[in-house]
Amino acid sequence: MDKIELINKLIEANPEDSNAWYLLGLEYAQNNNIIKAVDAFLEALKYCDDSIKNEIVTTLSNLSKSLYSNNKESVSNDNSQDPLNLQKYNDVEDNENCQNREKLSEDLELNKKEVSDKPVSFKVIEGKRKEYVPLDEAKDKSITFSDVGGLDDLKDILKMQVIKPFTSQKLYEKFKKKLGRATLLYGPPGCGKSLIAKAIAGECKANFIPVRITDVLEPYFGVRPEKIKERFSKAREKSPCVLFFDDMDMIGFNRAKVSSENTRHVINQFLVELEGIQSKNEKILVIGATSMPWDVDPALIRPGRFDRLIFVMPPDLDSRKEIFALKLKGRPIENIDYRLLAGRTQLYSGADIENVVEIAAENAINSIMKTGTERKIGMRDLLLAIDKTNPSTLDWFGIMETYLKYGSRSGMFKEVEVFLKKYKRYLGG
Amino acid sequence: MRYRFNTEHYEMSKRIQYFISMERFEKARSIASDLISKYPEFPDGYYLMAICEYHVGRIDNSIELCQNALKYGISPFTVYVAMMFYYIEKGDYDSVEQCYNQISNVYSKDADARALYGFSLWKRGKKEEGIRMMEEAFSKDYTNTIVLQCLLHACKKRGKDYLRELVGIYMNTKASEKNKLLFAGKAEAYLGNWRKAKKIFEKVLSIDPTNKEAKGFLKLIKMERCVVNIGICVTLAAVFCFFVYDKMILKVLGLFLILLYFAIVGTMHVLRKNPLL
Repeated sequence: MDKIELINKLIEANPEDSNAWYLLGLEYAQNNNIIKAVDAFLEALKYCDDSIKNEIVTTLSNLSKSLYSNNKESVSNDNSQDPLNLQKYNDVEDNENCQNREKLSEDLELNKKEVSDKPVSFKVIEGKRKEYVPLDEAKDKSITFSDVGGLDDLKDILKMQVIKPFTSQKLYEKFKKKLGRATLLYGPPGCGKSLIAKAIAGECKANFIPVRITDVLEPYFGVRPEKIKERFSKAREKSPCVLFFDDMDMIGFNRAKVSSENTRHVINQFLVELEGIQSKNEKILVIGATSMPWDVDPALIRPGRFDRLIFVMPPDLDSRKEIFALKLKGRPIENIDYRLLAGRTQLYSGADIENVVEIAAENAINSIMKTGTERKIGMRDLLLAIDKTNPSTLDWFGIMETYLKYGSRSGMFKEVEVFLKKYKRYLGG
Repeated sequence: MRYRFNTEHYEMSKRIQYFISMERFEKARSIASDLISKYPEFPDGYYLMAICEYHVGRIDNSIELCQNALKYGISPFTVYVAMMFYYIEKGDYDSVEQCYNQISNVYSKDADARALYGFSLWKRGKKEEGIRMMEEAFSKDYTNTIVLQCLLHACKKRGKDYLRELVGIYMNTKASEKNKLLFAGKAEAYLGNWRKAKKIFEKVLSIDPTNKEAKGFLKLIKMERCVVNIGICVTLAAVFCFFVYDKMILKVLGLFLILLYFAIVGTMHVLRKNPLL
């Protein structure tokens, strides 16, 4: 105990000495005084800099794990006892500013529900590590379907096929229906697949973990199976969460198109992880997105894998109206007929519409420079811009048509077939 | 300036290679462009950029980039082979010869280079000499896919057994399934088995719906079917004009239509023999 007294004196001399608080925590932990140890570590976290933050967090999480394993039985038998963990939460909450308060109370709610599955104190660490979470992971949680303009049919499909099964898991468990199927969003580029994936996470009130090709690509080996495994482990730690694989065509590239054996291992790892989620009913929703579904390995889109294929079509009339309004917002405009603009931009993607608006703005600026009289962006500018451009989705539909014609995909891309029939005259078929 | 392994530019170049292997040339190109702007004296950047440029159809840029790569000290062999390839595509056979001579000054003549040079000779009309060189390359490395591709194209008149043997060898190389199908499809097309070739090219399109060769071949078949249908109509119209009307002008028109039809059939026959020119 001498050591503890000595460290306490150090702390008295400088209450903001994070190292002293950390050492004190270690001492308490060694003496099995877990409550005081956690207190000390939390104090250390308050004052520490980045160099030892990781160390403290790791120690604290180990401590919470050991505490969890010791107390598991008592916790699961009586949830109302929880003197340590929940009290700690409240203590921490008092010390946090108002911004963190809301998150902590949310976490607290979550932990109360899942106390039989997870050590509650772990969430405290998560809150403290906020700055280590990549920016878009934290930010993307706030995006919901209300941030996605139009596409009401698609939203309904997603609600029924993806969100409801994820949020009403008990019902599924009751009927012994497996949950863990993964969803693949596909469609022409620039139609908002990534935004929709973020919105799904927001609707599910789950964490959002994006995985891009650069996250799993190792320079000397291409995509490594270990990296895929790592991402799934991270998702398990942060569950409930949406694990989003952007550019699925590059991560799970069709093996028939490459001579390298590496992709085989990557796809096998993927299948193992998906199988794991399915069998354990883990609270992870796996979503992939691709604008080149023909390049995704067929093994990945078989039943039980990415078997929910959802077509993210180019924006419909209402969506295009909204996109025009959004893109023209804050610019000097006059007499804009959004309905006419939307009607003239059939098959245009969101990115195409943005391009149209940019060209129109450029036209207006050029004319001001030539004439010297200031004017606003008008319908004429926008219609001229529309005449100058073509929908970028046409190529995509052309390729998809060929793919559907020659690839026997047994109705997997039925929605595209229907879409192609509907818009045949625009596609030149 | 010396460049070492395990540094940013090597990592970037490996990343570019990965995207090239996946045929994501635009993506690879953007990284290659970054690489060149960051490390203007790193030769691999130019070489990789050249590959991307070639695949997006800018052969002249590719050649210029290869020359830059040589200027900054890349291992010349790979670049010269690539340049031979680009020059053949351009039809500049003198430059192919120059590249070949450059290679032979430094290295003992490799199978790739020998086959490509032989192919350029064959294209120039020196058929026997060209085929002899390609066969020498084949005896050096019979699993080399470039050698096999050159031989398939140059020796398409050698008959069924020879082409089937080449296909058999190609099937045992490390080429991707798509490339194997393309090779087999070409062989069948050269043999005149259009129906078989069509089936194979359809398989190629089911794997890669963007494949230009397969698409071109299927278009050709479609065209042939159209010609046959039109031909029947034209012949009937011509016979009708010739026999029913007495006026000379209509008889001449009938004859003209028949001759036109034969001309179209003749063209189709040539295309049938060389469907993938």
